[in-house]
Amino acid sequence: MNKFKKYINNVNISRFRFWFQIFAFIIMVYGGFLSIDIGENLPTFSCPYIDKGGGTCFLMGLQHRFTLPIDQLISFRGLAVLTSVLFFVSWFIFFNKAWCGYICPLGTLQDWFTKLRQKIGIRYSNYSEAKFKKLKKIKYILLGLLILIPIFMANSIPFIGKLSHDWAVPFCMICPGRTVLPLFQGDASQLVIDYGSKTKMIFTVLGMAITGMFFAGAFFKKRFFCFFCPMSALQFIFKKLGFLRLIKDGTKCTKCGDCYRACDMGIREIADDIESKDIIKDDCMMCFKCVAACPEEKCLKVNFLGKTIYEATEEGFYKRQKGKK
Amino acid sequence: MKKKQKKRIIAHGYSRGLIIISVIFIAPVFAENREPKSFHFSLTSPAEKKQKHESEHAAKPVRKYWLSTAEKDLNLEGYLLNPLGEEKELKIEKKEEGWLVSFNTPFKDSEDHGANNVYVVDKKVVDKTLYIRTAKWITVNHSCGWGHGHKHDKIRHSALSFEKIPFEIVPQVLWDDKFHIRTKTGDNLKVFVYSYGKPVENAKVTVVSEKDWQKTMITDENGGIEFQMIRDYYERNWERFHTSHRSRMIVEAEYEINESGNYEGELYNKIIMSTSMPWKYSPALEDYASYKSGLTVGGIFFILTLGGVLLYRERRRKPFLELDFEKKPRKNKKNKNE
Ligand code: SF4
Ligand code: SF4
Repeated sequence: MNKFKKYINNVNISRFRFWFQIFAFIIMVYGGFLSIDIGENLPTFSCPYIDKGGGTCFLMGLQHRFTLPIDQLISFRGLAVLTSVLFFVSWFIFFNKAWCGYICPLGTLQDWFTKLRQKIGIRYSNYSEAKFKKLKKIKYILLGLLILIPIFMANSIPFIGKLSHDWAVPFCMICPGRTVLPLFQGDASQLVIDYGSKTKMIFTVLGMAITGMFFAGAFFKKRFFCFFCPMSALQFIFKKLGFLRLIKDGTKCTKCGDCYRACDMGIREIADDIESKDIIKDDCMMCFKCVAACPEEKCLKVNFLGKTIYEATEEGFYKRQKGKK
Repeated sequence: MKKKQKKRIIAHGYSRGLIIISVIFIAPVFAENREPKSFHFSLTSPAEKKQKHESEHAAKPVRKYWLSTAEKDLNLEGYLLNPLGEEKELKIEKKEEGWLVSFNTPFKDSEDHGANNVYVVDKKVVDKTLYIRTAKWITVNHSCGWGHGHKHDKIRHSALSFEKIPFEIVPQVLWDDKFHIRTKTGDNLKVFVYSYGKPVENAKVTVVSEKDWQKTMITDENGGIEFQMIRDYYERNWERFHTSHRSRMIVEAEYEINESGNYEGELYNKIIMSTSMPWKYSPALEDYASYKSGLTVGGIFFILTLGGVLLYRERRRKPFLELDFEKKPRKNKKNKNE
């Protein structure tokens, strides 16, 4: 058993993650061809605009379900919203935010862009601390809007009235998952500007503008889009329920900053915070690169239902460093 | 004979001739045409002029359909086939406005989730011809709130035929695996004609568009025909154009069989079967969306972001400073642009 544990702790997590992400990408994007349907309400961007995808992103259903008059929302039909949230949570608790780091096809795509940039030898960009703090709020604003807009499609706003049907699935309209992921099945139909109505036109212009920014941004900034992702915000609300945890023993931390430098999301607290035990922050995608980068014995750990499944060890650290060289 | 009398006799002859001519040519116009006309289902009663369209996204507890005919003496048999191919109960009512059929579709993901086939069949003998008239309506009972868990459920996604129905139109599937209907103008559509679950060759199929454009085709050995749905929705004003505009098309089929027999005590020497299936179509994406604009917007923002990052990097590049402890620090011009 000890040997096995040692083997796991010495593992090159980045390589494992790389292959796992390819596997998950195939399931999420091409699963339908293999008659695989993982299910609805998934806490990841398994975009329903992919014709034969392997599952469905929770955000689309959520936007549909909130398109209800308030009286119905608080009656039995509100139960449908609640049930879907329960399904979402039951998917979520298994992997916690590792859905982002290991399964999300849009996240994987951004990691591939990073790999390409590294191969070409162009250096990456990072946000300043102040910018980082401002930008991370955007995902909460988007989460609020994707719930409020559907509600206002079914309920009148004073002096304005109801929003038209053209406001349907507002987040999907601007999400690069809708425009980019179907391309992997040869479907370019989402790359259009819809002149059907002014609202649709504005939404599709926004969608294509964000798509353009996504390609350039993800090339320079690791996980560029994830800072703005409302799914990440929603997941963070339920992070305390997750079986998978990132645990830090602050007494062992020397604040060397190796973990911060390894973190694609640029989470400073992973190095600075020596108080918190449960160290998952809202931008964390649970990639565990920080655990692999930490040189201090048992300082950072990955726990599943209280059991440690992967942890920082000196031996593992040196092995990985040697491997790099 | 006096001149006056002669004239009267000629005039009398003329009027008699006119009467005979009018009897020959005009009387058939007023004579009762006993040949029964085909009928179809509709969301509105025959008295209502306005057309309505059903949405596959608006699940409702009871589904109701009117027959387009105002005939009172129908001898209707009703059938309902659920998405799993099981026969269910269909209620038929004779109302003041016409014939109404209905059935329940409770608001939940059940065996009704998917395409349900609604049929009525009327049989009658007129002038030694047995007329078998069928009307069919396919209703897609779906709510996105129930999820799309039947994505790989082949039976639910098939367009079914029913072996109890004498004559019916079976379209090639007109909905996707999430039960969203996507029939657009310009689509190549294929429909088949079946009799008691078997394909019918040489049946006459007519497709009638919203604005009454028609096309008639003859079925092949598989009972199939193929046609491209024409566009007949135009708005001069952009504001008035609706991408979700629904137009109705009706597919009708007819087939004649030279066969003698006896139907409920009445003899016939020919059978004429007719059937109908209304459907809806919307404008094609190409009518209101542009790839050129999409790629232009995407391209502009890609270049702006790329340019922005490179410019930012260039502006933050600090000149190389050489420190000379004897002198004041100075900028090294040679290395400035490195
Ligand atoms: S904090 Fe650790 S697990 Fe979270 S994103 Fe950064 S490196 Fe990955
Ligand atoms: S790498 Fe480990 S020791 Fe260094 S700052 Fe991070 S948690 Fe602390």
